[in-house]
Amino acid sequence: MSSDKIIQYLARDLQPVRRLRGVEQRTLLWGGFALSCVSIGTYVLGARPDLSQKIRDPAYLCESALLLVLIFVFSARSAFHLSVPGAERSKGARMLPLLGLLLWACLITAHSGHSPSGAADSINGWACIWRMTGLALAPALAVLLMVRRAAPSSPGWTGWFALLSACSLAMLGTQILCANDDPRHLLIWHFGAVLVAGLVGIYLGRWLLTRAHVRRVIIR
Amino acid sequence: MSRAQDGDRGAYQTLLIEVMALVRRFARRRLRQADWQDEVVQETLLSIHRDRHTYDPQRPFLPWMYAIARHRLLEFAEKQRRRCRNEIAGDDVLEEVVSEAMIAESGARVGFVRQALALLSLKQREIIQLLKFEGLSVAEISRRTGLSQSSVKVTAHRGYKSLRRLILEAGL
Repeated sequence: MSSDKIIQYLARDLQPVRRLRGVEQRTLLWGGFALSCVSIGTYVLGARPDLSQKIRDPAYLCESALLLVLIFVFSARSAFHLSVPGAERSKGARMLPLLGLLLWACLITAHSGHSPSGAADSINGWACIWRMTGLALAPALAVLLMVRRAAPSSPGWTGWFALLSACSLAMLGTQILCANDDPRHLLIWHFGAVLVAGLVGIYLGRWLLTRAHVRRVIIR
Repeated sequence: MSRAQDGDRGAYQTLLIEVMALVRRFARRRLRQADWQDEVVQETLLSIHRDRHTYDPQRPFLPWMYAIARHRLLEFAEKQRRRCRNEIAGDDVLEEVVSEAMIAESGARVGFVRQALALLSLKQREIIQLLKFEGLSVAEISRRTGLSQSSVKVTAHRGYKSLRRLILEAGL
Protein backbone atom coordinates (compact mmCIF):
# COMPACT_ATOMS: atom_id res chain seq x y z
CA MET A 1 0.00 0.00 0.00
CA SER A 2 1.39 3.41 -0.95
CA SER A 3 1.68 6.28 1.54
CA ASP A 4 -0.93 8.30 -0.38
CA LYS A 5 -3.43 5.44 -0.11
CA ILE A 6 -2.73 5.18 3.62
CA ILE A 7 -3.42 8.89 4.02
CA GLN A 8 -6.70 8.58 2.15
CA TYR A 9 -7.67 5.56 4.22
CA LEU A 10 -6.83 7.25 7.51
CA ALA A 11 -8.58 10.52 6.62
CA ARG A 12 -11.68 8.69 5.38
CA ASP A 13 -12.10 6.74 8.61
CA LEU A 14 -11.21 9.58 10.98
CA GLN A 15 -13.23 9.71 14.18
CA PRO A 16 -13.08 12.41 16.85
CA VAL A 17 -10.94 11.43 19.83
CA ARG A 18 -10.98 12.37 23.49
CA ARG A 19 -7.77 14.29 24.13
CA LEU A 20 -5.47 13.07 26.81
CA ARG A 21 -5.09 15.54 29.67
CA GLY A 22 -1.78 17.38 29.98
CA VAL A 23 1.18 15.52 31.46
CA GLU A 24 1.38 17.66 34.60
CA GLN A 25 -2.35 17.39 35.16
CA ARG A 26 -2.27 13.61 34.87
CA THR A 27 0.73 13.43 37.19
CA LEU A 28 -1.08 15.54 39.79
CA LEU A 29 -4.27 13.52 39.39
CA TRP A 30 -2.48 10.25 39.93
CA GLY A 31 -0.28 11.69 42.70
CA GLY A 32 -3.40 12.80 44.58
CA PHE A 33 -5.02 9.40 44.13
CA ALA A 34 -1.88 7.55 45.25
CA LEU A 35 -1.44 9.79 48.30
CA SER A 36 -5.07 9.23 49.30
CA CYS A 37 -4.76 5.45 48.91
CA VAL A 38 -1.57 5.25 50.95
CA SER A 39 -2.86 7.64 53.63
CA ILE A 40 -6.08 5.64 54.06
CA GLY A 41 -4.15 2.35 54.07
CA THR A 42 -1.67 3.63 56.65
CA TYR A 43 -4.47 4.97 58.83
CA VAL A 44 -6.35 1.66 58.67
CA LEU A 45 -3.27 -0.45 59.46
CA GLY A 46 -2.22 1.80 62.37
CA ALA A 47 0.94 3.88 62.75
CA ARG A 48 3.95 2.75 64.77
CA PRO A 49 3.58 3.49 68.49
CA ASP A 50 6.62 5.79 68.66
CA LEU A 51 5.69 7.93 65.66
CA SER A 52 5.41 11.13 67.69
CA GLN A 53 9.06 10.70 68.74
CA LYS A 54 10.25 9.56 65.34
CA ILE A 55 9.00 12.64 63.52
CA ARG A 56 11.47 14.64 65.58
CA ASP A 57 14.36 12.48 64.36
CA PRO A 58 16.16 14.36 61.52
CA ALA A 59 17.37 11.13 59.88
CA TYR A 60 13.83 9.75 59.73
CA LEU A 61 12.55 13.03 58.30
CA CYS A 62 15.35 13.16 55.71
CA GLU A 63 14.59 9.60 54.65
CA SER A 64 10.90 10.38 54.32
CA ALA A 65 11.56 13.59 52.38
CA LEU A 66 13.87 11.71 50.02
CA LEU A 67 11.28 9.03 49.43
CA LEU A 68 8.56 11.55 48.87
CA VAL A 69 10.29 14.15 46.75
CA LEU A 70 13.18 12.64 44.87
CA ILE A 71 11.80 9.17 44.31
CA PHE A 72 8.00 9.40 44.36
CA VAL A 73 7.54 12.80 42.70
CA PHE A 74 10.33 12.60 40.12
CA SER A 75 9.57 8.99 39.18
CA ALA A 76 5.92 9.81 38.66
CA ARG A 77 6.81 12.82 36.52
CA SER A 78 9.25 10.74 34.48
CA ALA A 79 6.70 7.95 33.94
CA PHE A 80 4.03 10.35 32.70
CA HIS A 81 6.45 12.38 30.58
CA LEU A 82 7.78 9.21 28.96
CA SER A 83 4.28 8.15 28.02
CA VAL A 84 3.65 11.08 25.68
CA PRO A 85 5.64 11.56 22.45
CA GLY A 86 7.67 14.74 22.47
CA ALA A 87 7.22 15.26 26.21
CA GLU A 88 10.14 13.01 27.13
CA ARG A 89 12.61 14.73 29.38
CA SER A 90 16.38 14.67 29.27
CA LYS A 91 18.35 11.64 30.41
CA GLY A 92 19.58 13.76 33.35
CA ALA A 93 16.02 14.13 34.60
CA ARG A 94 15.66 10.35 34.52
CA MET A 95 18.64 10.09 36.85
CA LEU A 96 17.01 12.08 39.67
CA PRO A 97 15.03 9.13 41.10
CA LEU A 98 18.17 7.02 40.88
CA LEU A 99 20.04 9.71 42.77
CA GLY A 100 17.27 9.58 45.37
CA LEU A 101 17.68 5.82 45.71
CA LEU A 102 21.42 6.21 46.10
CA LEU A 103 21.03 8.92 48.74
CA TRP A 104 18.50 6.81 50.59
CA ALA A 105 20.90 3.84 50.70
CA CYS A 106 23.71 6.15 51.89
CA LEU A 107 21.49 7.60 54.59
CA ILE A 108 20.57 4.15 55.91
CA THR A 109 24.20 3.01 55.85
CA ALA A 110 25.42 6.20 57.53
CA HIS A 111 22.82 5.78 60.24
CA SER A 112 23.87 2.20 60.96
CA GLY A 113 26.40 3.27 63.61
CA HIS A 114 23.73 4.85 65.83
CA SER A 115 21.13 2.13 65.81
CA PRO A 116 20.90 -1.11 67.74
CA SER A 117 20.99 -4.20 65.63
CA GLY A 118 19.65 -7.66 66.11
CA ALA A 119 19.77 -10.77 63.99
CA ALA A 120 16.05 -11.40 64.43
CA ASP A 121 15.18 -8.00 62.99
CA SER A 122 15.88 -8.93 59.41
CA ILE A 123 13.68 -12.06 59.62
CA ASN A 124 10.52 -10.04 60.18
CA GLY A 125 10.89 -8.23 56.91
CA TRP A 126 8.16 -10.08 55.04
CA ALA A 127 5.54 -8.11 56.92
CA CYS A 128 6.99 -4.93 55.41
CA ILE A 129 6.90 -6.46 51.94
CA TRP A 130 3.22 -7.33 52.31
CA ARG A 131 2.44 -3.87 53.68
CA MET A 132 4.26 -2.20 50.82
CA THR A 133 2.56 -4.44 48.25
CA GLY A 134 -0.87 -3.82 49.75
CA LEU A 135 -0.38 -0.07 49.88
CA ALA A 136 1.13 0.08 46.38
CA LEU A 137 -1.42 -2.13 44.64
CA ALA A 138 -4.10 0.42 43.73
CA PRO A 139 -1.66 3.26 42.84
CA ALA A 140 0.48 0.89 40.76
CA LEU A 141 -2.51 -0.40 38.83
CA ALA A 142 -3.78 3.13 38.28
CA VAL A 143 -0.45 4.46 37.03
CA LEU A 144 0.04 1.52 34.66
CA LEU A 145 -3.45 1.98 33.23
CA MET A 146 -2.91 5.72 32.85
CA VAL A 147 0.41 5.44 31.03
CA ARG A 148 -0.97 2.62 28.91
CA ARG A 149 -3.74 4.89 27.68
CA ALA A 150 -1.06 7.28 26.40
CA ALA A 151 1.66 6.18 24.00
CA PRO A 152 4.75 5.09 25.94
CA SER A 153 7.71 4.81 23.63
CA SER A 154 10.08 3.23 26.18
CA PRO A 155 7.94 0.61 27.92
CA GLY A 156 10.75 -0.64 30.15
CA TRP A 157 11.71 2.80 31.46
CA THR A 158 8.08 3.81 31.86
CA GLY A 159 7.30 0.64 33.82
CA TRP A 160 10.37 1.17 36.01
CA PHE A 161 9.40 4.73 36.92
CA ALA A 162 5.73 3.88 37.37
CA LEU A 163 6.38 1.09 39.85
CA LEU A 164 9.25 2.91 41.53
CA SER A 165 6.95 5.83 42.19
CA ALA A 166 4.02 3.76 43.46
CA CYS A 167 6.24 1.57 45.64
CA SER A 168 8.31 4.43 47.07
CA LEU A 169 5.14 6.11 48.28
CA ALA A 170 3.89 2.79 49.63
CA MET A 171 7.24 2.39 51.39
CA LEU A 172 6.84 5.82 52.96
CA GLY A 173 3.57 4.52 54.37
CA THR A 174 5.32 1.33 55.50
CA GLN A 175 7.98 3.42 57.30
CA ILE A 176 5.13 4.98 59.30
CA LEU A 177 3.81 1.51 60.15
CA CYS A 178 7.06 -0.36 60.78
CA ALA A 179 8.74 0.27 64.11
CA ASN A 180 11.91 -1.59 63.16
CA ASP A 181 14.79 0.89 62.69
CA ASP A 182 17.56 -1.65 62.31
CA PRO A 183 19.68 -0.47 59.35
CA ARG A 184 20.00 -3.98 57.96
CA HIS A 185 16.23 -4.33 58.05
CA LEU A 186 15.81 -0.96 56.35
CA LEU A 187 18.41 -1.76 53.73
CA ILE A 188 17.10 -5.21 52.84
CA TRP A 189 13.37 -5.02 53.41
CA HIS A 190 12.65 -1.37 52.72
CA PHE A 191 15.28 -0.11 50.26
CA GLY A 192 15.75 -3.52 48.63
CA ALA A 193 12.03 -4.02 48.23
CA VAL A 194 11.58 -0.69 46.43
CA LEU A 195 14.53 -1.45 44.18
CA VAL A 196 13.19 -4.91 43.30
CA ALA A 197 9.72 -3.44 42.67
CA GLY A 198 11.27 -1.01 40.21
CA LEU A 199 13.06 -3.83 38.42
CA VAL A 200 9.81 -5.81 38.27
CA GLY A 201 8.33 -2.66 36.74
CA ILE A 202 10.76 -2.93 33.81
CA TYR A 203 9.45 -6.38 32.91
CA LEU A 204 5.86 -5.42 33.65
CA GLY A 205 6.28 -2.35 31.47
CA ARG A 206 7.69 -4.35 28.58
CA TRP A 207 4.81 -6.77 28.91
CA LEU A 208 1.91 -4.40 29.51
CA LEU A 209 3.01 -1.20 27.82
CA THR A 210 4.53 -2.50 24.60
CA ARG A 211 2.15 -1.48 21.88
CA ALA A 212 0.87 -3.92 19.28
CA HIS A 213 2.34 -3.46 15.85
CA VAL A 214 0.71 -0.39 14.43
CA ARG A 215 -0.38 -2.02 11.12
CA ARG A 216 -2.08 -4.86 12.94
CA VAL A 217 -4.09 -2.38 14.98
CA ILE A 218 -5.15 0.00 12.23
CA ILE A 219 -5.22 -1.90 8.96
CA ARG A 220 -7.30 -4.98 9.46
CA MET B 1 -4.02 18.49 14.41
CA SER B 2 -6.38 20.02 16.89
CA ARG B 3 -9.09 20.05 14.21
CA ALA B 4 -8.25 16.49 13.26
CA GLN B 5 -8.75 15.45 16.89
CA ASP B 6 -12.25 16.89 16.61
CA GLY B 7 -12.91 14.81 13.49
CA ASP B 8 -12.22 17.28 10.63
CA ARG B 9 -11.28 14.92 7.78
CA GLY B 10 -10.20 17.57 5.31
CA ALA B 11 -7.82 19.19 7.79
CA TYR B 12 -6.48 15.78 8.71
CA GLN B 13 -5.75 14.81 5.12
CA THR B 14 -3.92 18.12 4.52
CA LEU B 15 -1.95 17.62 7.69
CA LEU B 16 -0.96 14.05 6.83
CA ILE B 17 0.24 15.11 3.38
CA GLU B 18 2.48 17.73 4.98
CA VAL B 19 3.62 15.25 7.61
CA MET B 20 4.50 12.75 4.90
CA ALA B 21 6.82 15.26 3.20
CA LEU B 22 8.52 16.19 6.47
CA VAL B 23 8.98 12.60 7.62
CA ARG B 24 10.22 11.53 4.20
CA ARG B 25 12.92 14.21 4.40
CA PHE B 26 13.72 13.10 7.96
CA ALA B 27 14.00 9.44 6.87
CA ARG B 28 15.99 10.26 3.72
CA ARG B 29 18.72 11.84 5.83
CA ARG B 30 19.02 8.68 7.90
CA LEU B 31 18.25 5.78 5.57
CA ARG B 32 19.71 5.09 2.15
CA GLN B 33 17.17 2.72 0.64
CA ALA B 34 13.98 4.26 -0.70
CA ASP B 35 11.78 1.33 0.38
CA TRP B 36 13.12 1.62 3.93
CA GLN B 37 12.33 5.32 3.91
CA ASP B 38 8.81 4.53 2.73
CA GLU B 39 8.34 1.99 5.49
CA VAL B 40 9.35 4.52 8.16
CA VAL B 41 7.06 7.16 6.62
CA GLN B 42 4.10 4.79 6.61
CA GLU B 43 4.73 3.54 10.13
CA THR B 44 4.93 7.15 11.31
CA LEU B 45 1.65 8.07 9.60
CA LEU B 46 -0.09 5.09 11.19
CA SER B 47 1.38 5.88 14.61
CA ILE B 48 0.30 9.50 14.37
CA HIS B 49 -3.20 8.26 13.61
CA ARG B 50 -3.22 5.77 16.47
CA ASP B 51 -1.71 8.17 19.02
CA ARG B 52 -3.45 11.36 17.89
CA HIS B 53 -5.26 11.58 21.23
CA THR B 54 -1.90 12.17 22.95
CA TYR B 55 -1.24 15.44 21.10
CA ASP B 56 -1.71 18.41 23.38
CA PRO B 57 -2.87 21.49 21.42
CA GLN B 58 -1.11 23.68 24.00
CA ARG B 59 2.22 22.29 22.80
CA PRO B 60 3.90 22.70 19.39
CA PHE B 61 3.07 19.99 16.87
CA LEU B 62 6.49 19.33 15.32
CA PRO B 63 8.31 17.98 18.41
CA TRP B 64 5.40 15.59 18.96
CA MET B 65 5.51 14.45 15.34
CA TYR B 66 9.29 14.09 15.20
CA ALA B 67 9.31 12.15 18.47
CA ILE B 68 6.97 9.61 16.88
CA ALA B 69 9.04 9.55 13.67
CA ARG B 70 12.25 9.07 15.66
CA HIS B 71 10.79 6.16 17.61
CA ARG B 72 9.48 4.52 14.45
CA LEU B 73 12.91 4.95 12.86
CA LEU B 74 14.66 3.39 15.86
CA GLU B 75 12.16 0.57 15.90
CA PHE B 76 12.70 0.01 12.19
CA ALA B 77 16.48 -0.03 12.64
CA GLU B 78 16.14 -2.58 15.42
CA LYS B 79 13.83 -4.71 13.28
CA GLN B 80 16.31 -4.59 10.41
CA ARG B 81 19.16 -5.54 12.70
CA ARG B 82 17.20 -8.54 14.00
CA ARG B 83 16.15 -9.53 10.50
CA CYS B 84 19.75 -9.32 9.33
CA ARG B 85 20.99 -11.40 12.28
CA ASN B 86 18.39 -14.11 11.62
CA GLU B 87 19.16 -14.18 7.92
CA ILE B 88 22.87 -14.51 8.60
CA ALA B 89 22.25 -17.36 11.05
CA GLY B 90 20.23 -19.14 8.36
CA ASP B 91 23.09 -18.58 5.94
CA ASP B 92 25.52 -20.93 7.63
CA VAL B 93 24.24 -24.02 5.79
CA LEU B 94 24.00 -22.16 2.52
CA GLU B 95 27.50 -20.79 2.88
CA GLU B 96 28.77 -24.28 3.48
CA VAL B 97 27.21 -25.47 0.20
CA VAL B 98 28.91 -22.67 -1.69
CA SER B 99 32.25 -23.25 0.03
CA GLU B 100 32.06 -26.97 -0.61
CA ALA B 101 31.35 -26.37 -4.27
CA MET B 102 34.32 -24.04 -4.44
CA ILE B 103 36.77 -26.41 -2.88
CA ALA B 104 35.38 -29.51 -4.59
CA GLU B 105 37.88 -31.70 -6.37
CA SER B 106 35.97 -31.42 -9.61
CA GLY B 107 37.29 -28.58 -11.66
CA ALA B 108 33.97 -28.46 -13.47
CA ARG B 109 32.23 -27.47 -10.24
CA VAL B 110 34.70 -24.73 -9.49
CA GLY B 111 34.33 -23.56 -13.02
CA PHE B 112 30.55 -23.56 -12.70
CA VAL B 113 30.62 -21.62 -9.45
CA ARG B 114 32.81 -19.03 -11.12
CA GLN B 115 30.36 -18.85 -14.04
CA ALA B 116 27.42 -18.56 -11.64
CA LEU B 117 29.25 -15.81 -9.78
CA ALA B 118 29.53 -13.89 -13.00
CA LEU B 119 25.73 -13.85 -13.18
CA LEU B 120 25.41 -12.10 -9.82
CA SER B 121 25.30 -8.33 -9.44
CA LEU B 122 28.65 -6.57 -9.32
CA LYS B 123 28.32 -5.84 -5.60
CA GLN B 124 27.31 -9.38 -4.67
CA ARG B 125 30.10 -10.86 -6.79
CA GLU B 126 32.72 -8.58 -5.34
CA ILE B 127 31.70 -9.36 -1.76
CA ILE B 128 31.52 -13.13 -2.24
CA GLN B 129 34.89 -13.12 -3.99
CA LEU B 130 36.44 -11.14 -1.17
CA LEU B 131 34.86 -13.42 1.43
CA LYS B 132 35.48 -16.77 -0.23
CA PHE B 133 38.43 -16.36 -2.61
CA GLU B 134 40.49 -13.81 -0.74
CA GLY B 135 39.35 -14.96 2.72
CA LEU B 136 38.72 -11.49 4.10
CA SER B 137 36.52 -10.97 7.16
CA VAL B 138 33.26 -9.00 7.07
CA ALA B 139 34.95 -6.17 8.97
CA GLU B 140 37.82 -6.02 6.48
CA ILE B 141 35.42 -5.99 3.53
CA SER B 142 33.39 -3.28 5.23
CA ARG B 143 36.53 -1.14 5.55
CA ARG B 144 37.63 -1.83 2.00
CA THR B 145 34.27 -1.21 0.29
CA GLY B 146 32.94 1.50 2.59
CA LEU B 147 29.74 -0.50 3.20
CA SER B 148 28.47 -1.17 6.71
CA GLN B 149 29.09 -4.64 8.15
CA SER B 150 25.38 -5.47 8.10
CA SER B 151 25.19 -4.35 4.49
CA VAL B 152 28.08 -6.67 3.61
CA LYS B 153 26.33 -9.56 5.35
CA VAL B 154 23.00 -8.86 3.66
CA THR B 155 24.63 -8.58 0.22
CA ALA B 156 26.53 -11.84 0.79
CA HIS B 157 23.33 -13.51 1.95
CA ARG B 158 21.49 -12.45 -1.19
CA GLY B 159 24.41 -13.56 -3.32
CA TYR B 160 24.44 -16.99 -1.65
CA LYS B 161 20.72 -17.32 -2.28
CA SER B 162 21.14 -16.59 -5.98
CA LEU B 163 24.12 -18.94 -6.17
CA ARG B 164 22.14 -21.70 -4.54
CA ARG B 165 19.33 -21.22 -7.04
CA LEU B 166 21.81 -21.40 -9.93
CA ILE B 167 23.57 -24.45 -8.48
CA LEU B 168 20.25 -26.25 -7.95
CA GLU B 169 19.08 -25.39 -11.44
CA ALA B 170 22.31 -26.81 -12.86
CA GLY B 171 21.78 -29.99 -10.80
CA LEU B 172 25.15 -29.85 -9.11
